[in-house]
Amino acid sequence: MSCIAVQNLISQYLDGRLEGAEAELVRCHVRECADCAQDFQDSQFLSRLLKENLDLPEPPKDLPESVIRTVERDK
Amino acid sequence: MLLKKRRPKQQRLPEPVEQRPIFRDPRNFSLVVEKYQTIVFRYVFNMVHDYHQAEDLTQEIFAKVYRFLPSYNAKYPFSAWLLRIAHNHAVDYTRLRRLQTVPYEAVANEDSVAEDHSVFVAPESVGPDEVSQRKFIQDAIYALPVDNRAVIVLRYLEGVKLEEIAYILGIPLGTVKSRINRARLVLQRALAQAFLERSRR
Repeated sequence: MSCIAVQNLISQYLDGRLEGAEAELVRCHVRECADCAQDFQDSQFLSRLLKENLDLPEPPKDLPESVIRTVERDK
Repeated sequence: MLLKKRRPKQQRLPEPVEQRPIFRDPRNFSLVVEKYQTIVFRYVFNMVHDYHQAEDLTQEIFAKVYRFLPSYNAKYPFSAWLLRIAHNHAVDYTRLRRLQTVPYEAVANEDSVAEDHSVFVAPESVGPDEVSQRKFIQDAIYALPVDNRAVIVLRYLEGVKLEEIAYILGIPLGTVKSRINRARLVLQRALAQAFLERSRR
């Protein structure tokens, strides 16, 4: 597996969205490749930093209705 | 004997669910809005850092998405196509706002303006030290130039693949990587400063 392919999968791995063989491929590659190991560590840290410190507001409840009103008005 | 060269079969991409004719009916399009509203709203909010502005922009973005729906070609996931429209719309808004509020020289020399219109307060369970640390980190993130902030949010908050980030932002993959590295360095410096200030108290 190439470095770019692994780096593409790291976020999914950290979010628990990877399973089985793919997850194992990421683990193996990160053990052997210093660059990807660094990327893995940084991703883990920054992902936590952003999720814990940024405001992550929910959209207003009536957003879909407001969009439909705009769409129908523009038609 | 002449052998006829066989043309390689063109791969047809499967039609995405969101492009089905049923969603051309505005009432059904609300299902598409419901499915993607959180990712679009959150992304726009992190670009403009203003709840009400993010709400208005998200509405406009989905109205655009509805108009452009027939042009989506499924080469990239629907969410990436949607975020590309959202990004361009939010960047147009921030540039226009800066032109209206910041002198031309400042716009030309500085690639970002830190906005701080947050309407949120920290939960009561969080102590004053944690509040100031959280604020310090937020300030560092929102002070990043909007293009660098975009890669950090897409990569580390939304977990978007590097190639998709390149598509969303309309830049080469190499530029995505260099922006990520630059933003990482700025955040590292800001964090070191935050911890230093905390240890002085």
